[in-house]
Amino acid sequence: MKSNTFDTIVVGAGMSGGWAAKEFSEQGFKTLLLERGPNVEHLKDYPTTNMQPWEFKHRGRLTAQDIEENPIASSCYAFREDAKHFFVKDKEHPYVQKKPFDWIRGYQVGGKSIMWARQVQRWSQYDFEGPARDGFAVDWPIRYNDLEPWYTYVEQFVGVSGNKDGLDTLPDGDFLKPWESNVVEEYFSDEMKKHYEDRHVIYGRCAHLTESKPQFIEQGRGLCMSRRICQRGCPLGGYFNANSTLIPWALKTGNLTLKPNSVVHSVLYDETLQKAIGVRVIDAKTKESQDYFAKVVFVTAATLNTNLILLNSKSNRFPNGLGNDNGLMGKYIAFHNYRATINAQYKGFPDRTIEGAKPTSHYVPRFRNVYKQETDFLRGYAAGFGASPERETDREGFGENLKDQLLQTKETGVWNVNSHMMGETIPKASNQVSLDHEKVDEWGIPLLNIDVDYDENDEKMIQDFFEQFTEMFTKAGFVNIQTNDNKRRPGNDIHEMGGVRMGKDPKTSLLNGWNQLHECKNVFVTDGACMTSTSTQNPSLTFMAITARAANYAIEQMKKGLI
Amino acid sequence: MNRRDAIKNVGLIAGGLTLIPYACSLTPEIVYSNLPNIKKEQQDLIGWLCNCILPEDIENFPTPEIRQNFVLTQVNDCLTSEEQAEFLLGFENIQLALSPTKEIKIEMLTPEEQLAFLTLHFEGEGVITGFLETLKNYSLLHFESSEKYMKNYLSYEFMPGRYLGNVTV
Repeated sequence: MKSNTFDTIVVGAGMSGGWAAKEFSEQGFKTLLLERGPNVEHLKDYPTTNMQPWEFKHRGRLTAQDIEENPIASSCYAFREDAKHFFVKDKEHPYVQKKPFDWIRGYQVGGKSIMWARQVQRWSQYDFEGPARDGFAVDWPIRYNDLEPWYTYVEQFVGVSGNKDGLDTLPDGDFLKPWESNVVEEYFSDEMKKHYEDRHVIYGRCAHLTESKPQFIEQGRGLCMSRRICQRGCPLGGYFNANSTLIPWALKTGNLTLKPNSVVHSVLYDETLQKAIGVRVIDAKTKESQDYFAKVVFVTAATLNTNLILLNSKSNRFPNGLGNDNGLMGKYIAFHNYRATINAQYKGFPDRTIEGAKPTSHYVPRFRNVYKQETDFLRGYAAGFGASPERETDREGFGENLKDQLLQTKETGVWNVNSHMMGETIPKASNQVSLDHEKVDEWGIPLLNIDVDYDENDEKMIQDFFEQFTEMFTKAGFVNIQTNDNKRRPGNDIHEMGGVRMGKDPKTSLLNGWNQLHECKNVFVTDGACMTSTSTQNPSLTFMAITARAANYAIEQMKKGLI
Repeated sequence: MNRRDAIKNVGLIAGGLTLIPYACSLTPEIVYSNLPNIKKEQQDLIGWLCNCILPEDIENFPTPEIRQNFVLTQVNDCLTSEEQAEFLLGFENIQLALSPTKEIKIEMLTPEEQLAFLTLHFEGEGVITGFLETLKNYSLLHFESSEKYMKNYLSYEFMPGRYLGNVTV
């Protein structure tokens, strides 16, 4: 095999690309994994992982220069002194905002899996049936049952802590034991059961190891110690990221070639063979161009960059982007609406507190419009829920008195409770990305124009969240209830999806039920770009399950010589 | 602030003068890139004020850096240029408020006069108050992020490894 020829090429070494690389390498296929950013080796490249809060020069805060130079990146909750090195800085990779859009990115081996929030809820049958039932986007070509075994497959490798809750709206998985709930989380859960038939407050399933199993030992991972600084990378491997699991696993097979600093310019299409033959790569440092060849290409560069690469993959056959005969590529981008929050206090359990920490909170699965349409907006929202003891410190005055007051810090017996909305947005043709006709980046690739915004459905959903959660909090006896629309811009949820959607009909979608481009069957898209709709759940688990499923399908097809 | 509090603070300030007279501090001069005009003596004055606002306790609450350096680093790095200009204006004004000719230095006042001076300006609303509040906020951050304070008073654990959700207070 020539040094630039492989069985498979995977574009993007994040969570989705990591899964594709693992599946192919494990089953004997020579695989090239391309990543535009630098390498991040587990353990070796987590520079802040063991730093204590008092060891940071700015105690974890950003400098004025950080904020001034990075208005987009610094809007992300995890872009702080301890982990900012894992985020793309605003100046490094510009894009065009037709409307304000916070594109939060992590260009390195491991991608955003290093800094992600680690919430892993399965989708349900209601999510996959949603577009067909409610008449938006197009019908998904798959259903929950198609993905169910792959969810299990992924969970067993990743390690997911959770409870079996028996909810059809949020199917159970293969879970490791959960952390304890606290008294107020349990109380709120019980109260909701008393007042509502369909509103559940459950433990938020998260990608953390709470039990040791042979596969985790083989990965070299230990139990999560609840450090809650996961965004720095975990020296224990206590949470899942691609760096500690998928990539070393694939490298161990001897079948994976990992090439960091490799910016994929486009997928190469052979007009005679009528299929893709490889990719064109620009070296991130030298800017030199090189082509790599393979039978199958997986494009998993993260949602918007996957759109960018495919739109930029032009040929005589596909002048508007690879597989884009219907002109829909880049359209129907959607995301999650995280604008609404609610805070309150609870004065029950004044004699109870917590000890230690846990890396997750509670979760309220979607209860709006699940079984039938019941509101004047489409779809609904899930929500996080957290409760923690309030601490009071008197910081008035100055001098020795002030110091004495600080030493009297204490819990008040009151609990602070909060919830935040995770709303499904409706994919629309007008929410789209496209190539800029004039501006190119330093690698000669057109910049991406992003034209995405909220709509009236989102505004109505926010108001409904405020009303419903105010009612739920009131019924639970919470006081001092305050709602807030944080007005965060689209993109800040870091759950952008779509643009290369799956569907049954090549006229109205780009990918088939196995994530192959309808018009170029040896190119697969399995990251967020493939999503037909967004549901409300954090999407990473679904990206991974879809990728594992598609990769194994591709393997079958390659073995049969069909692609 | 009541009389008992005031007396306690007088004690602190007097003690501070005995231990750390800012005008003859041994702290080496550090050049802060965004505060080039804050010279050694002024850096020491800022450190002295920080200690008056929240006494540094190196023995019981050690930190990687002394208060003066920490606060000036935050002012240098974390305030915007507009905020730094306001901070410097407040600093200039507090020196002028002490003595229009800057001939009188704060350590030349009696502890009672120092207390009265700081109390007066903490309770105001102008740039001097803003300056003092900035010193206070960063002094609080320095103290409250010290290892001993976090561990002994905020129940901080680096690797708790457990979560108990129903613990009797």
